[in-house]
Amino acid sequence: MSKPGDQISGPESVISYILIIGVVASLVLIIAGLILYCLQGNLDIQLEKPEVYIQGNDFFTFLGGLLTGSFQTSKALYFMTLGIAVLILTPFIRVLASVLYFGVIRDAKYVVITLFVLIVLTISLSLH
Amino acid sequence: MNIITLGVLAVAVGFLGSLTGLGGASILIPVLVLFGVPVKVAIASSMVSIIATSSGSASSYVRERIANVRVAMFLEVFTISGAIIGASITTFIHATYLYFFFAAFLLTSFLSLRKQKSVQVSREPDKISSWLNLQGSYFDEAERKSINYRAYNAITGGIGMLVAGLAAGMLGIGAGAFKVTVQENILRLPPKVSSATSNFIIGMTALAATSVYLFSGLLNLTLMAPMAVGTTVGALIGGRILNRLNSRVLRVLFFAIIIFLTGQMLYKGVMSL
Repeated sequence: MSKPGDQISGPESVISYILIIGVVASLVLIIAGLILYCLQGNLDIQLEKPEVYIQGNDFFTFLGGLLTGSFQTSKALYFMTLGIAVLILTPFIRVLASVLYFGVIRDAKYVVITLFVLIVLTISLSLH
Repeated sequence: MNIITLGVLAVAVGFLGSLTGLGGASILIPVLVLFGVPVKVAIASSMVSIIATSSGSASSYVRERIANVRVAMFLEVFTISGAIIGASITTFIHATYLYFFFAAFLLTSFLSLRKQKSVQVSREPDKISSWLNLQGSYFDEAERKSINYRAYNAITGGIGMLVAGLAAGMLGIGAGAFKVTVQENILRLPPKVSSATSNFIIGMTALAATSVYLFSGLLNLTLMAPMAVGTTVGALIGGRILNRLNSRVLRVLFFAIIIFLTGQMLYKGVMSL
């Protein structure tokens, strides 16, 4: 009888860690941003102000801007935006890890399948 | 509505969404619209929070090996293609169409009402499904035994997932019910595997749609932030108890929510006439 955890560690544990670390990191940033935002007296959902909407042209440039500090906004909105960016990166890194995993175990079919997903996502993130 | 109310609401919705594999967005979007949020903003912002919900709960399903990674990777090829097309359509069509598509899509959840016959292990899967090595096993806590399964009809299932991805990207939802239907009835996967694998796929599908919405001026931080936090916390709690639940309990819960949502959307439709 096999119970969870009995099997040799496969892609499952790595993928599981990527997902949980990415989500936790992202939520910590978002919560920090939310707390700061609420402390500034902004309790209502804001639909009109342009600064509460994410702006940019290409995800990777946008991410670079966030990390190098060239992104101009309030501290609260900065943390929230960074949290969202980490969130977007999480499944992206998960696909990247899957490509590597199937490469290591030499499963050519699944390298092609995961690589397709990775390439489509990269193009789509760069275009919009 | 204020940020804290939205956060609390999102916890409740995330919990139910995770247990049933439906995701929280199909409940949250109509509520946001009711509170005056433009439908496209609600759709795009939900899409982002789905990445968190799905990835958070998928993490535990993957670790417990209920979600099948190979099946997920194969089906994602189809869902992401659909999601990118769907999200692109939403960015330019008139908002009115989206209400009707939303209601119509909820009705497709009833397709899964047809009771699934027990998985036939005796029949050999088609060549493509075998070639793709779409099979696995998981330990069922409710039945206290290890269950082996194989997937059938990979290509038909893939086409079904393309439609699921299209609807997901277009409507800002996970389309979990539709994905589960395809996996149970076409790929013939056990209900728990379908539910968990669907959760896993939803995160990638949501990322694909988000990539389209990202700089469309529709992603609102004051919506996304409380939704992402709330739905994920709710989903994590849901994910912890999924494997302990009986498949039958899960099914009843699933249908109760679908009936509620469809009723709500019909009401909205009538009111907007």
